[in-house]
This record gives sequence, structure tokens and C-alpha cells, in this order.
Amino acid sequence: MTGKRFLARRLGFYAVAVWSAVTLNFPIPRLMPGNPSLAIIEELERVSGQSLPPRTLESIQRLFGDPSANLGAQYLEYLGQLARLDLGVSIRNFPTPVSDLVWQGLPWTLLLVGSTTVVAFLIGTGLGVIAGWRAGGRFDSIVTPLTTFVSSVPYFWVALLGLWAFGFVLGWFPLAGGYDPDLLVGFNAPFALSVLHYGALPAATIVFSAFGGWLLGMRNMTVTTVREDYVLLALAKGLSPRRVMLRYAARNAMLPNFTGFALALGGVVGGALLTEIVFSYPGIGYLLYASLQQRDYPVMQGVFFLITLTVLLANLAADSVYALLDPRVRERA
Amino acid sequence: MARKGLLVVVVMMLATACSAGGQSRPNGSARADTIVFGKTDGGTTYVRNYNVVGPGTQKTPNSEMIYEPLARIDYSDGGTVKPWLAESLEFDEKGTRLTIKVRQGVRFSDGAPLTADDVVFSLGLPLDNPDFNLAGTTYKAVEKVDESTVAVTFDSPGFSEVNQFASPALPMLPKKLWEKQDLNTWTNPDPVGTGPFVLESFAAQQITLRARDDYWGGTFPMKYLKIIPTSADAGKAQLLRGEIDWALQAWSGAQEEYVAKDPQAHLYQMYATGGAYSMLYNTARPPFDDVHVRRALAMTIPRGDIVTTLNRPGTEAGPTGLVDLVYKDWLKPEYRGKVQQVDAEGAKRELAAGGWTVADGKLVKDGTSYEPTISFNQDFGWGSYADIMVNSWKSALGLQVKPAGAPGANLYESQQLGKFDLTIVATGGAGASGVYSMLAGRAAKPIGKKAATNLGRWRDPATDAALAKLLGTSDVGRLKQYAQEMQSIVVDKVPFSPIYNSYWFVVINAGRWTGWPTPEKFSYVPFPGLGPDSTMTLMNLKRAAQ
Amino acid sequence: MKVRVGVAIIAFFALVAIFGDWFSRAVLGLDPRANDIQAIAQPPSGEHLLGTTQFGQDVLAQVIAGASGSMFVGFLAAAIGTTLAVLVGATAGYFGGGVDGALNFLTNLFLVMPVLPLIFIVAGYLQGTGLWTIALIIGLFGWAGGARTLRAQAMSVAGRDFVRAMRLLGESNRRLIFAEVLPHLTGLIASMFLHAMIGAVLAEAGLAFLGISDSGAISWGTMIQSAQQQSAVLRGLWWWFVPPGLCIALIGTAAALVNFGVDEVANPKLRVTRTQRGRMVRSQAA
Repeated sequence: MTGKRFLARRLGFYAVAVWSAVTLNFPIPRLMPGNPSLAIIEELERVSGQSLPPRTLESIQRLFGDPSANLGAQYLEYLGQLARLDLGVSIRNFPTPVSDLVWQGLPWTLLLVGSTTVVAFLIGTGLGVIAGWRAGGRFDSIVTPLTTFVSSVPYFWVALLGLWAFGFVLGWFPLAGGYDPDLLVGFNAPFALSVLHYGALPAATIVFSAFGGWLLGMRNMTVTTVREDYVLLALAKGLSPRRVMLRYAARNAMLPNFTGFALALGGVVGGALLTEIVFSYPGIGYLLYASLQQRDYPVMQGVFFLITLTVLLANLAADSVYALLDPRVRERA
Repeated sequence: MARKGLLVVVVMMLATACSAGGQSRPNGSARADTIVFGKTDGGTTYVRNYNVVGPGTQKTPNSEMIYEPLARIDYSDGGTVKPWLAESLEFDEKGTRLTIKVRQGVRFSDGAPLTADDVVFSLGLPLDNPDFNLAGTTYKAVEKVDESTVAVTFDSPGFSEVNQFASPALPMLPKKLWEKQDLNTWTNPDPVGTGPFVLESFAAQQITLRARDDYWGGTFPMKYLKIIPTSADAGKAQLLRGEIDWALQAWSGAQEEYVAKDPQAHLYQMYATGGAYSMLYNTARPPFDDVHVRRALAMTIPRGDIVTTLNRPGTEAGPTGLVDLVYKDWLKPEYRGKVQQVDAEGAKRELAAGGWTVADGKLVKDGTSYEPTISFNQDFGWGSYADIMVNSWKSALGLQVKPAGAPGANLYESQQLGKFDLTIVATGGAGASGVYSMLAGRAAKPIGKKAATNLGRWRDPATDAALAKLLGTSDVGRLKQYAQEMQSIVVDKVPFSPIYNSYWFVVINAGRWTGWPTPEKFSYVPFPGLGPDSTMTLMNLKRAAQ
Repeated sequence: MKVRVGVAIIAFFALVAIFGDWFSRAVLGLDPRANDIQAIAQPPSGEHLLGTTQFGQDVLAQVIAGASGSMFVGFLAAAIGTTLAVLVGATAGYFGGGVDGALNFLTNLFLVMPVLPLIFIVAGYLQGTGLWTIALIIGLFGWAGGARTLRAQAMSVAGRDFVRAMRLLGESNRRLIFAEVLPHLTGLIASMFLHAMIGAVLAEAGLAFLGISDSGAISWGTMIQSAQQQSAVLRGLWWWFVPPGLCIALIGTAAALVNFGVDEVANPKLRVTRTQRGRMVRSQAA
């Protein structure tokens, strides 16, 4: 099979996958109990601490009440909207378009989770090579079990402890938000530094929780690669162990980890849910959380659509890169 | 260990990089003119949406500093309605025609005066667009009488409904800017209102409002009101550090964790809303159609334990549904300050009087047994309080009640449909008639049909008779008399049972701004959702002596 | 050694999950739901060994009760997920051809689907319906990785000569799958099950933290969520939120330890020297 045909087939698969995901996302809100008008009424009563006048209830239900019965037409309308990238109007923020909300949150998530994914990957992979090169050595026997433990700790729990220790007790980091509210938004040094300051703690917790997976994966790949003949040969030729480790063993061991990395980049948009909630970070994960709590279906569907698209695009990219690097993949497909 | 060391290094590096950022913060002059409001329940970002009549729950916050209603509700005076943008609001004899005198000298922030035409337009919006009737208006028509007078008409006496003119959802809007807009798509990004502030700058994580110097009500000691998003936990720390001056949140443990650290500047205030969290019986469903069962369950709610775990001692609700702090003068003397203690013996006598026994944790009468369920909103962690009630019923009566938490929207749906045994609701409203109108028999629907109010399906001729009298007058003396009739009915027949009073929680750091009202002595509540009250609050603050 | 430690920890928590309720009521005399209004948010003491919550509930009793809640979700979700993985993966690998094509497409679809947001959304709609539902959702959305691994393994077993020969002799497919193919994969399936279990315990805790939980049930996740709701972290009530988090971490570590050991046996490549301790690389099996 040629590379072109391979890619065409993969493209076909991802097109079907996108369609499946958005279709799956269509009936879910419509089948479940509780509709947006009830969520709005509930929220308004909670905020005011009193029951709402009957006329208010009527008016809210008229606007957001039970969607009309014809599901088929609704479905076609829904697909058409998505195709035009028209994500509809938010209910919580009526009548603000969903795309406004999404664009407001997206840069923050990309910045925070994107950069930490790269950092975690670099740290984890680097340490993994060292651990795997001398498997059973002192570094390996301390770091590997410790990493296993760290990876088993629930992420949000780490984040909470981090917030408590460095935010509340030591006061080194701010507790909420994306930048200092006293500053003006723009490309200037104080603002950039403030974004760094506010992002540091959430970033640190993500790296802390995420690098373990890369480390363990890389270590095991290195352990197997180290026994390969070409590595032994290189060592026998008298090349320096350091050079062999980095140039020969690590390079080849990287391959599976690298596809994993591409997938992780795709997961960036969706992966920020817990972080953004703990740190009140203004990204897309928090948007999804808030919209779910308020049954803001258009926003939920919009965010989910975006997450699906990025994950699938990253997968496609990973597939293509892999196919370029490793001819065997093409043949198997 | 090496790994840990490396992490520490990374963290330290980030920390140093950041503290540099912290120092570059401009402080001093800007902050001195500004009061900062930390909004704890609005998410992490705001959208620019000043479509103030739209039903969204997360529109741009604090728009009530820009748009004002005709009246305000005075919670320091029994929840009565006082004029605001109106100079007066007066009913005719029958209570079907309300004449509104428009306040003179009020200008929108673009310089145009507020006219009777603007008022007619604003009051007509919910009539022309029923979808945008967020204020729940009940009047049928609006007409302009002369250049400064507007009249609205009701189908039936509207005495008890005048509070709708105090709703922040019924603001006075400039007709010329609003009449051509499509409310379904317009987000009104550049708001023009009669209120004391204008939008100075908008960013997703901070909104700055600037005080007008031509506001009809007077001048302000501060130049800017800044609104920033925060979370409940972070907000507490920011209040402690003085980064926020003003916030709204319930803070259990505030006395030790906040007030004690600086009693002068750290204020934690609770203002009674006049309502309560109550247990509602589904009186259309046995065994809760039996007054003895209702009384027995109400008598064994451990109200003291619940307010203890809430860290709000002394806030147990009385038996009438009217809260002492707001309706002191309205309550029958025997109900004033009344705390309902757990009375297991009395409750057992009630069950016996109704012919009920408890066997295997079930309520039994004439061979039929019932296993009650109590539903509540799990989103606020109410489950722990339900557990306290369940434990009490078990130890006092041997009755096993099943707790059933549900998320808000689902719970609300089951309440509307009458698919519950016992449930927790917020009771309350403007004035005694607002509190009791939910018991009107005509609002009761059969189980399975959605009811807007009267979720407990209460039908009682005596209630309806007393309510009709209560809603048919504006004379305060007679209102009080009829309200007391309703109190006796509620205490005797127990259509619902109040558990603890609800409050507006205000947390203040008065390090920069002093002169805040206190729950002991106030004529306005420093709560933004109440509209004009926050205007009065800000206007009467003073810069703290540094 | 690692396997033993891991198994011991898991066995301990399994015992706690099964007998803990009886133990805390009969031996310790504690009720996880009882409210001691005299002791609200108290640190550990003689009377309450791990302190109390804001509602005067005993944290030790809650941790014990939470073990059964969390382990129940973990076990049920892992059982569902593993069963699905075996059904889809082994069938696809064994039969190949069109069956494989269809099932493999399904597997890939679930692999690339953003599962966490999807679970979050589905569970959000269903919330309030109990630990069963939560376990079901986690199981239903978490089987694809395992199925992919199993498919590859089943493919290689099915391709071996003895299986081919038996097939030619007319042995029924069902018997071949259950008697010949699956037994070769038990080690792998067991390790998958453990992974799925810890994954489900973590997922339950994460969902509870997001507010998606059964408020009537006690699990480690709901404990942490309840503590969070009462600002336990800010107020320094560490005895409330540290124990459940530690328990989750311990179980996770135990499962990883067991898998280390299993892999050493299962994967000869990682066993080249005696000193080397390794873990099978999952992608190798793919």
C-alpha cells in the first residue's frame, strides 16, 4: 500500500470518527432528565434566596423549555451548524454566542496545558533514559518506585495540596485567575510576567503528576533497546557510553513515546478540566465544568466538539508521522 | 531523591521568575481610588453581556450599578417597597391601577433625561416580549398619563405585587437605544443607564466601572468599582490579605478564621432575607396528607444540630415561615423568637393520635406501611444535613427515612411534578404575602402535572380564605392581622416546616473603605443583587484613614 | 517481593471493603453517618482516632466505609471494562477478516474519543443515580486500550500452528477461544484488570471531585469532595482529606507493584539479567 492510500484511509477513518463523536453528543442532552430552563430557575432561586414569581418561570420555560419534538430535523440542523462552525448561543450567558466563550478560554488552556505537556514530556523522557540505561542501578531503584507512587496519587489531590502549601500557607503564588487584575492585558513585560506568575503553580502540579508516565514508558523502552545488538556493537566499538546512550539507545526508544506525545498534545484541550477547576484558571476546562453545572447544552456541545476535533487531528498527525518514520506500519494497515 | 531535588529547583526558578512579576505591579494611586469586589460564584471569566432583561444567569455581573429599577425593597422595614427611580407608586382604591410618578432630573449616562416614554417602553418590554419577562411582571397594560406620569393596570388587586417594580430584571432603559434591537441576539456591549456607574473597561477577568459625577442621587467617595472573579476559597485568602474589599459568600468558621484576626476591619455580616430553608411535604400523597404525620416529623427535625454544623448558632427558623429578623412586628407574640427543639415524646403522641405506629422503620396505619424519602439538592452538599435529620428521626421515632440527593435541575423537575415525599426548598418572598402565596389552592396541580408554585400541593379552604384577604389590601394594619391568621394556620397544620433562616452573606475588609452598614443597624443591605441598596452602600462609604 | 507487597496491600483493602462495615460497627463501635455534634471538625484524638468532619462524623469510620464504596466502583468498572475488552479484542484477533475490521474500527473509535470529557458529560446528566451507574459508565468508556492489546495477542496465538491445526480438524470456534486462546492470555488479562481497577478508583474520585457522585454513598472520592466543599484544605483540616487521598495512592502503587512482577514473568525481554526489574511496555504488545 502506498503512503498516499494509507493517508487517504486514515483520513476516512477520522472523518467517520468525527461524525460518530458529534452524533453521540447529539442525543445525550436530549435524553437526560433536567432541562436548561430548570437549571436557570434553580440558579436564580439560589442566588436570590427566594422562590421566583410564576410569570418568571413561564417566561424562562418559553425560551428554553422543552425542545420541539422533531428530532430528525433538529439533528440535521445541528450537523449543519457544526459544519458552518456555528456553535449556537449560550444559555447561561444568553444571548452571547458560544464561539465567543470558547475563544475566550482557548488561549489560556493551550498556553497552560500545552507548555506543561511539553515540559513533562522532556523531563520524564530524559529521566527515563537515565533510569533505563542503568536499570537496577541506584537512580533507577529509587526514582522508578517513587514515580510509580506519584503517578498513583489522584491529580486533583496533588493540586489541592499544592494550592494550600504554596498559595495559602507560604503565599508564594496567587490563588486564582490567569493574571494580575491590576494590569492591563497586552503584550508587555509586566503582563507576561504576571501570566507566568499565575500559571506557575498550576503548571508545576501538572508537570509533577504527568512526568511519571513518560518516565516509566521511556525507561522500559530503553531497557529493551539497550539489549539490542546494534547498541552492544556500538559499545564494543569503544564509543563513549554517554554517546551510545543518547545517540543510539534513546533515539530508537523514543519512537513509541513520541507518538504518545502527539496524542498527549491532542489531549491538551480536554485534559485541563481538573487543573482549571482547582486553580480557577480561565480556560476551556472550566468552561465545560461551569456549563455542565448549568446545563448549558450549546456550550457543552461546542466545547466537546472542539476537544474531539483537536484529539482527532493530533491522532491523525501522529499516524502520519509514524507512517513516515516506520514503513512497517504502512504495510500492516 | 534526585528527581525531587530537580523539582524543587524548577519550582524555585519559577518562583523567582514570578516574584519579579509580582513586584512590577503598579500600586498606590490607582488602588486608592478603587473599591474591589470579588465575585465568588461567577466562574473564572466574564462575558460582555449587558442584555439585562435576558434570562442568562451569568450575564456581566453588577449591571445593577448601571441600570436601575423604579423601586427598591427595604429589608430593614419588613420587606416593604420604597420608590427609587419613581417618585411615588400609588394604587387606586381597588388596587387595579398603579400610578407611577417618574423622578425628575434623572439622566442617562449619555446625557439624555429619563422620560415617561422611557418608562412606558421599559415596562412594556415584558408585555411585548413575554420571553423576556424575567421580573415576572403581572400587570396587563402600561400607559403614559403625562410627561412625568405613567400608569399600569392589573386584572385583579395588585397590592401584594408591587414588589415586581423593584426587580433588577425590570430596569429603566433608554428607549431610543433599545427599541430597534433584537433581544435574542443583542448583547448590549456599551451599556447606557441611569445608574451611578459607567463601564470604564472590560476584560474577561476584570471589569472596571467608573463613578459618574452627574448621578441624580449624589456623589461617590471612590472613582472606580472593580469586579474580579475568584473562587470561594481563594476569595477568603484575598479578603484576609486585603486584595478584595467586598465579597459575598457564606463562610462557616468566619469568626475564628477571619473576624478574630482583625475585628476592626474584618467584617462578616449576615442579613436575613426573610426566607428560610424548609422541609416541604407532598400533601397530595399519603401519609403526608395527615397532619399528625407532618407534625411528628417537624417536631423531630434537629434544627439546633444543623445550624451548629453550619456554624451559624441561633439561626434556627421559627415555625411560621416568617423570619423574626425581618418580620418582628408582623409575628404573633407567641411565635416571636420561638425555637423548635426536638420533642420526641410529643412527636410520638402525635403519631399515636393519628393512629400511626412505626414498625421496621416504616410508618404503619391500617395495615399499610410507608417508607418516606427525603430529596434535596446535592450540588451544595446538603446530604450531610439530610443525614442529620434522618439520624434524628431514626433515634426519636424509629423511623427510617431514605435520603435521596439529586442535582438541582433534576430535583426541581421532580418537585414541580410532585414526585417526592419530603423535600428541601427555599421558602420566602417579598413581604408576608410573598411568603405565603405559595400555599394558594388554585396553584396546586395533581401529581405528574407541573406546578409553578405550591409544589407541596397544599389545598385548604381556611388557607385560601386568609390568603385572599391578605392579597386584597394595602393597609399595613390589616395586612398584619391577616398575616397572623396565616401564621396560625401554618403552625397548626404544618404544610411545610422551616429549618433554618436564609441569609445574604457579606464579607468585608474595611481596611480601605469604612462606614459599612451592620446587621444590627442598617437601612440598606450591602448586597449587589438588591440593586439600589449597593448604590446606597457605596455612596455612604468613607476612605479609611491610613 | 514487589508482587507480595502489592498483593498484601490490595488484599488488605479488599478485606476492609468487605468486612470494614461490620468491623467499624461491631469492634470500633462507629457509624460513618452518625453526627457527633459535640465534636465538629476536631483533629485526631482518643475518641476519634482520625478526627471528625465538619458534620461531626468520624473520619476513620468514613475511610473504612469509603473503601467499600471505592473498591466496589473499581471492581465493577474493571469487570465491565475487562469483559468488553476480552469480548471485542479476543474475537477480533481470533477471527480476523471482516469481523476484525469492524471491531477494530470500534476499538479505534473509542481510543481516539476524548473519554474524560465524554464520561464527564454523560455522568453529569445521569448524576444522582448511584455508584452502580458511575461504575457502569467508567467501564463502558474504558475498555478500548485493553481490547487493542488483547487483539494483537489473540492474533498471534490464533496464528500458532496448534490452533490452526485444531481449527482444520473441525474444533468449534467457541471452544478454541475459551479453551486454547484465552488461557494463554490470563496473565495479561489479570494485569489489565488490575490496571482498570485502579483507573476506575481514580476516575471515581475525579468525578466525585467534579461533583458527579452519589451523595447517598460514601467513597474516598465523595469524602474528598465533601471536604473540598467545606474548604477543608484552606482551613487546615488535613485529617479529613489526607487519609482518603493516601488510600487511593496506596492502592494505585500496589497495583503497579503487582504489574511489575507480572511483567517480569510475562515478558522475557525485560528479564535479561537478574538485577533488572522492569515492566512490560504496553505498546510492545500492540
